[in-house]
Amino acid sequence: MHQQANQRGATGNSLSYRPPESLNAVVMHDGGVNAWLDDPENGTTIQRPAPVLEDGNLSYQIPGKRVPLGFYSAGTANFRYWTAVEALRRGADFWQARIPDLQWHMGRKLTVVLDDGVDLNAYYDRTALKFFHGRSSEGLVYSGESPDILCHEMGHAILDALKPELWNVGSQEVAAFHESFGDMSAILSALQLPVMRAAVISETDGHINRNSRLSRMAEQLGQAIRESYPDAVDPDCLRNASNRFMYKAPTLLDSSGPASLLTSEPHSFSRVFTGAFLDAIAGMLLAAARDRAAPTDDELLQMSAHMGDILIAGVRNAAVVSNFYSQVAAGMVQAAGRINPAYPRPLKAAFVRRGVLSLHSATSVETLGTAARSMFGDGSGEEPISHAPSGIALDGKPYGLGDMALIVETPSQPRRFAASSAVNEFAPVQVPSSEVAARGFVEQLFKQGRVDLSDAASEADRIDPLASLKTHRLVKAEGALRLERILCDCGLNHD
Amino acid sequence: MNEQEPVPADSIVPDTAESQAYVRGVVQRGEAALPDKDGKLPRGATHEIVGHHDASGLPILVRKRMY
Repeated sequence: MHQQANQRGATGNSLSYRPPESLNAVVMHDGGVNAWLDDPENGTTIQRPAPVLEDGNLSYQIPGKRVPLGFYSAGTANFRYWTAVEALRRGADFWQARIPDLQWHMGRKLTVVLDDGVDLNAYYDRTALKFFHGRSSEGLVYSGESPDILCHEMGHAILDALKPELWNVGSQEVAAFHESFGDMSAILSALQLPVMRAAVISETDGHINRNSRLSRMAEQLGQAIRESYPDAVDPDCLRNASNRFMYKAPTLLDSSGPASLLTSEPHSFSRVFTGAFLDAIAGMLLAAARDRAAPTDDELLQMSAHMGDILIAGVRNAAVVSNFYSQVAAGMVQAAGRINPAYPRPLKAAFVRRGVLSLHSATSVETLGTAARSMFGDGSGEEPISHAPSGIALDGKPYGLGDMALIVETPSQPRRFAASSAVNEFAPVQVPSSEVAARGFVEQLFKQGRVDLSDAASEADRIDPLASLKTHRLVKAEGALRLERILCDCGLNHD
Repeated sequence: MNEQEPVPADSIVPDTAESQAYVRGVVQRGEAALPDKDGKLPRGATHEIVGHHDASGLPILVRKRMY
């Protein structure tokens, strides 16, 4: 079955991409392994240096007899063993380079069960990654030999190590982000292969958000599932990151449905964020390329590393709240600007186009980020948000404060950004109640003229009554203004 | 189990509109299950049912797997 697969391309015909010799991985005569370039359905094998199962804080252990190193043929259990190790090691190395001290949730070694029985599936359960096999019309399908699936599940484990508080949050958006992170992990891990980078640049003519072997997740498993459930997966794979899904409040969506529809089921809803992510890396590649008409393999490699850093910063800085997508997106935009000034624009455009960030949030996110840094540190991801003070950064413009952001204490879990998603271009999704409460509180103070603006706004911008009892003042913080209470008004003042 | 009885610290209690929507989706998709006598969940389940939230009529869940 796998020998046959090795002769097929994504469409079931001949290979859709045949890497030129000069771009192929180093040909090794010993000390290496054969592995899939990407999903087995695409049928391209490569030779890779011998991967190390146990390496650093992100080590793996595979129960059972250890398979000797060697160049095994596709379709054999030994090949499946080493292609799995190669993909898992490559993915873990990518993330380890971004976060050297990261360790699996359960410790230094993550158990990997390559074939735990019959099922067309795979999962991570905080103790292990488990993969299965199932039957399709073309033979047996092993989820544990697809680099897409391996690096997706590994992505769950990475995110669980990075942000364990996401694991049990009763939020559709948070659960969907976990799935999206798995797919983003698979995409970024795939881009660490020179042959893959050359293939995707060639296949998409440098516009890597086009449908390609990079955007298509798990073609073979998708095909096997499609045979029994035709509408359960995308037409050409399990999930395609090259999609057009727009953000909708997940609480308003059906809980399940055909793959052609967006639902609140986490894998389905994840496609919004993953689609924006693929658009973003495509735009960032062109923005950073020396020649926009011909981005290079090296530029794609560098951009993938930058995007890994940006994604990590976004996740680390995002408060665990119901509008988690927009919180991560805002943090990513912030981080992107520190890495390359050319990145924020295409990144914001991608998130706005999908409604992950509202227009208002996208235009104010950098101002708000400046304020966030004054509250929480430099936003480099070194400061855990869980111990940050309870506060939120609001856009200062509506209050006559120009580009200065306004920091307001709230009773909620702290958010770094007053960012929101959008139901359409001009209508931000209603934000959670704690933020509404904070905005309402501030607006009321300003309407009633209770805020002393003498040191914060120009005379022309001031709208506060000349004579009113001031209960609050604005104190300059780094790049922002912090709202502080001066006194408690008993409420009898009516001027 | 009702609201007066303790549940695991990391459980998902459907006591807000958002968590109720989440739990309802898990249940509707058949992803919530009771463990078997060996403590294992059936294939396809993502959450273990650990209790019942009387006010909402929904189960209290603990996440066990991500697919």
